[in-house]
Amino acid sequence: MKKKKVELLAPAGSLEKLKWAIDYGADAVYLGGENYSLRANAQNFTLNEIKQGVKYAHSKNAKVYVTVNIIFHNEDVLGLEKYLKELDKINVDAVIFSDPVVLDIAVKNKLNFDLHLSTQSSVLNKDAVKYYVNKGVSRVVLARECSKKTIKSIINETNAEIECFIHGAMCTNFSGRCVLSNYFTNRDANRGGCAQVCRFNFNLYDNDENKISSDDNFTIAPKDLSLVDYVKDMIQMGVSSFKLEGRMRSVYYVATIVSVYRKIIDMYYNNSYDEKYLTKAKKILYRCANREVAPQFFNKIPGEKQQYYSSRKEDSNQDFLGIVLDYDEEKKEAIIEQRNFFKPNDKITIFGPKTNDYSFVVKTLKDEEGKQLDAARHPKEIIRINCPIKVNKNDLLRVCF
Amino acid sequence: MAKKILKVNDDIELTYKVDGYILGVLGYASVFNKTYSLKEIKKINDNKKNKKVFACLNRLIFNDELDKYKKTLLKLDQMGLDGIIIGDVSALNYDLKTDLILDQMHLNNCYQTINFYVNNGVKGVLLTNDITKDEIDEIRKNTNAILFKQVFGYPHLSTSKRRLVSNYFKHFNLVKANGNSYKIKEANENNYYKIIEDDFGTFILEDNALNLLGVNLNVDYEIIDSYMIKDVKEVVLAFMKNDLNKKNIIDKKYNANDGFINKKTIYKVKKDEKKES
Repeated sequence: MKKKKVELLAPAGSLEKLKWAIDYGADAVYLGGENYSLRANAQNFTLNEIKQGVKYAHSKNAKVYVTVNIIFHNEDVLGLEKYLKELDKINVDAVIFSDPVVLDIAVKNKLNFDLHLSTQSSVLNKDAVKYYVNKGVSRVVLARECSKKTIKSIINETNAEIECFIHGAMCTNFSGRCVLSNYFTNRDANRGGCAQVCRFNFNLYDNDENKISSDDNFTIAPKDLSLVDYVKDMIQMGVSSFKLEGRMRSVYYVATIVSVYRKIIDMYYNNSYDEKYLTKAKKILYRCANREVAPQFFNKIPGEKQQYYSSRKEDSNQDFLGIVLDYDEEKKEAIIEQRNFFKPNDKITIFGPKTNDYSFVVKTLKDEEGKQLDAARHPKEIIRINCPIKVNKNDLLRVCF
Repeated sequence: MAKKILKVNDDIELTYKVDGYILGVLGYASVFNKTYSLKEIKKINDNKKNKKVFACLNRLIFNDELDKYKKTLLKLDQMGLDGIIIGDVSALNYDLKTDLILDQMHLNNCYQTINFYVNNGVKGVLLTNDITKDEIDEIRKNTNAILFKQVFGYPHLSTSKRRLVSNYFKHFNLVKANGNSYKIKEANENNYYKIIEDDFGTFILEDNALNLLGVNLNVDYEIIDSYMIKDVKEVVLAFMKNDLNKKNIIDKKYNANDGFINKKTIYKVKKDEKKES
């Protein structure tokens, strides 16, 4: 039997980001509603926005998965059944959950959406997969602690639909099995209030409270995950879905990582897998996040180099230069909404869903009225730049590197 | 009245007068100072007299450990134990006849969830430390599950597969002190937390003990956990006699508090903070 093409699953932190993710090549997006989602303090979707998102996604043959992934307390369950029925009515394609109360209600009410078990459940073995599949789960998102060997064995021995994270931030601890946030800040980690204590700095002491660290340079913060080098392996292993982390990230981040992984996946299926592109892809991916990356548990238990210490780097970068609003074919100029500083003689790259990476030197830079500018300085300012090729609305500009 | 059971961390604790024991199973139990082989567990169980004995395999299981894990469970199943505490749902596939008690650290917080597991292979659950007494009362009203709740000891906050302390020592070329237990503290804060590394990974625990002596919990078993405590005998005695005079003494000795039993966590920060102010 021919295996289905691997799905590229992207985060959608807002309706706007949902559209960007799908336009840039995501096969499916995941998002959180106003309740029951582990990003309780994010800009989450209203039911109406979910409806609009589903309509948009389905019109582009993409799917929408809704996270209902908190760990429920008694009081949280009130309203859950109604909410799940609403999601069903809206035709969401799947619900991502970790607490089986969601599974129970969905199965009892014969709701139509698929049920995806979240990585919050920390599934690490085939028998745990079988347990949940027997109860009605259609897909399991494996724990990020799974190695290549484990993922492969689970797929071979269960034939279940398996989703794996391939890029983005990750927890230091087993997901769901960490309540540091509750104790440090009173914010409930498993109900969406996680304060990310694993990014805090600490002093380290011995058991008698003699200080060991010279400064507060003890952290438990991991570097981000990137399995860009293993896309081919994971497709061959039979992973069903590649998940990108980042519901809180920017449009630029989402569009960039989606477009890069889209290209790599397509190259594999088109038999045009290109190691040279991989080198370039890594450069693009690593620059658009603010942390370093590592394959984490894929090949071995992460060691010294896969976490941060005092010298941890969380650089913000100014690579994202603007969004293409339109193209003036007569003047051969791109009309841009600016995001970060650039000036004439800078080399920039434009990329988009239908625009292959195109790099060129900025020669002219004008404001909306055509007045020459010495630099693009003001975020959201509308400017015109020379652009030899036709580019499209919603293509993005970044620094050329 | 809930039975008081002791999570055993030292052989001597097997002589303490409690209603039962939780024994960590060698290779499969986390956050125990002492774990026991199957042979030892059988011997303890055979001589238990009127006490309850539970074997505990409370950690997550990796795929390549499954065969041995299953064999271990099947052997334990033949021992006539009062229950087997499991941390990984894979165990629910093995048709074990012994009562299975699910301990997923922080994941069993509401009665609907607990009832799902009760209807699907579990007899009881270890309740999380992050819920209030009112929530426990509501759970009790709405489930027949056997309920376990820690009432004394250092709450276990997180589990990582990483070697977070060893990595730090390696990075800064430092020599590790004896033992595997350290503490961490934010620069401008007063509270320490225990950080412990073993063969499985790294665990963070509260440095202030939980002490629910005198709190009338609607559960079947109250767990006294002696992990990282030198001698828990006086605590055991106080709980067995419900000796409220000892509450302050224990609180002082172990910097103890009542955790979340009377305090709700928040999660929608702005909304919840508004409510509180």
